Amino acid sequence: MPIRDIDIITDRQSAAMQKEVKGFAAKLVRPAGIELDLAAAPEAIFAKNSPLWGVFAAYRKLDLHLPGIDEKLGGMGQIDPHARVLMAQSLGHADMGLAISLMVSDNAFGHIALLGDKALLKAVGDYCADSTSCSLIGSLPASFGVLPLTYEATKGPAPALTARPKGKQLEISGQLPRVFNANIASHLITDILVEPPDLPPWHGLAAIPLEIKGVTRGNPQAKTGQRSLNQASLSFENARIPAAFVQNLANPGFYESVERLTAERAQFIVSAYNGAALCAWEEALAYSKKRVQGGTPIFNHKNIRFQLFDMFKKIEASRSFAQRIASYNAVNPKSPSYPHAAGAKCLATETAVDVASQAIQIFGGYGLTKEFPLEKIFRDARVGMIEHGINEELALKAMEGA
Amino acid sequence: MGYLDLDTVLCRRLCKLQQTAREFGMQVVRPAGIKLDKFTDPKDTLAPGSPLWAVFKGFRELGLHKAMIPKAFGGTLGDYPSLATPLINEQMGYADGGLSISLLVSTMPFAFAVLSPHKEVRNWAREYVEDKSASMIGCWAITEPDHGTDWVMGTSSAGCDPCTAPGLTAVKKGDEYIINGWKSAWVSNGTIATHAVLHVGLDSSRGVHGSGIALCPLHLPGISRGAPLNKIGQRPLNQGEIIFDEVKMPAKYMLLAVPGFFGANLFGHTFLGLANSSMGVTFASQAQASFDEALFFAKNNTLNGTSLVQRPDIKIRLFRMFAKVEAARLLARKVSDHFFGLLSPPLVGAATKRQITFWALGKALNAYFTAFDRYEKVRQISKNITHPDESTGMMDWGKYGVLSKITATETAVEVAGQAMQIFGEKALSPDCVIDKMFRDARSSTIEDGVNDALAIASCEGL
Ligand SMILES: Cc1cc2nc3c(=O)[nH]c(=O)nc-3n(C[C@H](O)[C@H](O)[C@H](O)COP(=O)(O)OP(=O)(O)OC[C@H]3O[C@@H](n4cnc5c(N)ncnc54)[C@H](O)[C@@H]3O)c2cc1C
Repeated sequence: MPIRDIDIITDRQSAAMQKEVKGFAAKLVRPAGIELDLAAAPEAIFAKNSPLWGVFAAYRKLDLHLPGIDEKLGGMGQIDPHARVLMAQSLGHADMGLAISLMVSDNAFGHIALLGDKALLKAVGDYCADSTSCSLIGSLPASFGVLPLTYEATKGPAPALTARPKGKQLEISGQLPRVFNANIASHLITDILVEPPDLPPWHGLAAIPLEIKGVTRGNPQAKTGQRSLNQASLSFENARIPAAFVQNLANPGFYESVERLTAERAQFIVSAYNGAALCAWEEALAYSKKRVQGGTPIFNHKNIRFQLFDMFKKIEASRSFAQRIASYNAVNPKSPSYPHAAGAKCLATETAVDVASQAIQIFGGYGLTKEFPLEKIFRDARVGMIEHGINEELALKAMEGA
Repeated sequence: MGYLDLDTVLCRRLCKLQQTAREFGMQVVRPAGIKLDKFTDPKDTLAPGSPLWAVFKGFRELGLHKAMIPKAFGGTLGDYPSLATPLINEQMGYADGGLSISLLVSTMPFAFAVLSPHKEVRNWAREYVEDKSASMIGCWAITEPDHGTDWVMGTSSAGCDPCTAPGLTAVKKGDEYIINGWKSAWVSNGTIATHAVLHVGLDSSRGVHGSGIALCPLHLPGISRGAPLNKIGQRPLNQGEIIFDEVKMPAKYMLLAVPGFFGANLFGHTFLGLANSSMGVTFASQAQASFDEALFFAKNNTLNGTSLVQRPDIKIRLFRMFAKVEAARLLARKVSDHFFGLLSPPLVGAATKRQITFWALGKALNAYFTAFDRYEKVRQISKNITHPDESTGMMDWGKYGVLSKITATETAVEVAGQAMQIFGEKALSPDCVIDKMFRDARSSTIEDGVNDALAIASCEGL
């Protein structure tokens, strides 16, 4: 029985775009991810000759950074939500680390566009047009996961950064650990506690250009998985930004727009891990048809087929969950459902780990070596159960107020 | 933190041995493993000043390598109760899964050597006991690039299929065997071993069952090695290919020259079960190490202002981890003790006597193997059995080793994974000990046989 592709994309243009992403991911992202994974030093990610730059440039040449950004600013506006899920899936299929790196940049500039300041809007326009130098890259703190910031603002720990008004400027201090794209980014989007001298402090969203004085980028972190994704700490010591680069998260109109971007981010994360799971499954299927043991390709042993089916079933369940949320979010962009987002994230990351692990068993010893792709997919997937919100903690948060 | 030793029979000598192994494990093996794990090129783990050598030498300095060598050869088998070996393996597994396996397989050729009818080979055991500089290192060379699980299945009736026949063959010519073929990059200690328990194809028409076992010195002309393997876990464990090109091996090094025996449940599966039972002990203890790390972390860290260990959801997770670890540990120790108990009686009896007893024992075994092989052939002809080993019906101990290995390795993976979740973001750094433990555990469900394959092969013995 052949396995059909039962994904439905109604919009032709989006379908064409999804096809392009698939090709680009396989040809460029995947080999770049493997190369960066093997590099001994985390600095290699952003060295001059790093394949990362080729990936960013090609991604932008294909206009893949434009969906979600307003057309008036040079973006593409909304495209077929199901196609977007599949595009994220293709990127995760190729390399989890680079997928997150690309998404973080786009998501950060999506936020920058919301802040409305002229200088920032110009930066967004430049971002949309920047397809050769890739000098504009966005970054986000690791706390920007699948649950909304506004949620974190009321229930979570206080933001790590504080801002004090100084005339028309704000002076920022504090340190953010494990910021995505910290060493390669031009702009950071972060939450921040604004402390005016006489008024109660308020929780804001800030865009910080990273070239300003008072910003120190930490050493890139060595990581066990998703090594192609640059992460480092960012420290701020009296770094000054215009007051207009910060908005109050409690502002109703603003809050809802941020929610849309949180939902987009969650959708991307979930779909990328589904892609990683799918990749592990495809590798295992292909390998099982080549590897001979007991005088026949191991695909012919019933236990292997059973495993493959078990993996297939889990992946399809997780992918369906992602598409169901995408359908809902497309219709209700301003009120995404967070228990669903948390549920889909836990399911997708656990599926990716389980499936990659099962795939390793199918590969036998070869699944553990650096010569085959599986041990990397497994390490990359394993990160997901902790990153973007530890799964068990997400579960607890998702049930608050249920 | 506290474990009760539920084995109340531990005598003072065993307690002392356990203590020695524990100190060596935590002071030398654990830190060495952490360092070796970080080398990006596995070749560097073998450089002269590498901590790997301190582990090998320290183990021998303390005499821990003698545990599987009979007393008559200077070892401590038969001197200590049978629990001695499991107790040492527990401590090594707790310290570092990969290095534990390295130390374990290192003894194998020398433990087997005592059964050789040839004095020269038997003497290896004594030389090994006395070798404090680690100039003698053993390996168990069975897996081939084209035959991995085939060997596991070979311990069941499926292994009589000619398509599973080893690619590495030994052909007798006069006083020598001519050996050609490859052992895969998975052979533990493959690039550093001086001696191998080498499984060779003797009669390819009988598949894996047509194989024999040689105790082969690896300096013989025509033997070469591959580069050390680069892998996700158990990185301190050296592994690499051994390639045989027209190697002339003196016939005296062939320990089991009777084809048709390896596959029979009695021997092949018990042999695998024995190795599996030690895997079980090592990885049940490795699971315990992960649990201890998680418990320590939970007691000493807070999340969003709440102490982790105070949260009921975390308490449940910790207690269930504890339950799994203890179940696996007790099972593994019991099975391994049983195996060494089975091995010991004939050896213990002979232990105080001279080596000549082992010569007789080796002879007797080979005579028994030959007789069994002939009996099987006659039985097949008389009953017109086309599938040679359709029924073996022997008492199968091997399945208990497999049971222990599957339980322990799966516990190790699960518990290390749960421990990672308790560590949270800290677990994502390669400097975090739990990341290493998780990767080490992950390899163990394939090591010494893919768990599912072991289950398939062992089901026959139920
Ligand atoms: C850390 C480590 C240490 C090791 N140490 C040693 C050592 O010291 N010496 C040594 O010789 N080897 C060693 N090995 C090798 C190990 O024994 C093999 O990797 C293992 O037996 C699996 O073989 P394979 O890797 O070739 O997988 P394959 O045999 O290719 O198996 C692939 C998959 O197919 C399935 N399969 C294969 N055949 C069948 C069948 N007939 N029926 C049903 N399913 C089947 C398996 O279950 C598995 O899922 C080690 C391996 C590891 C990971």
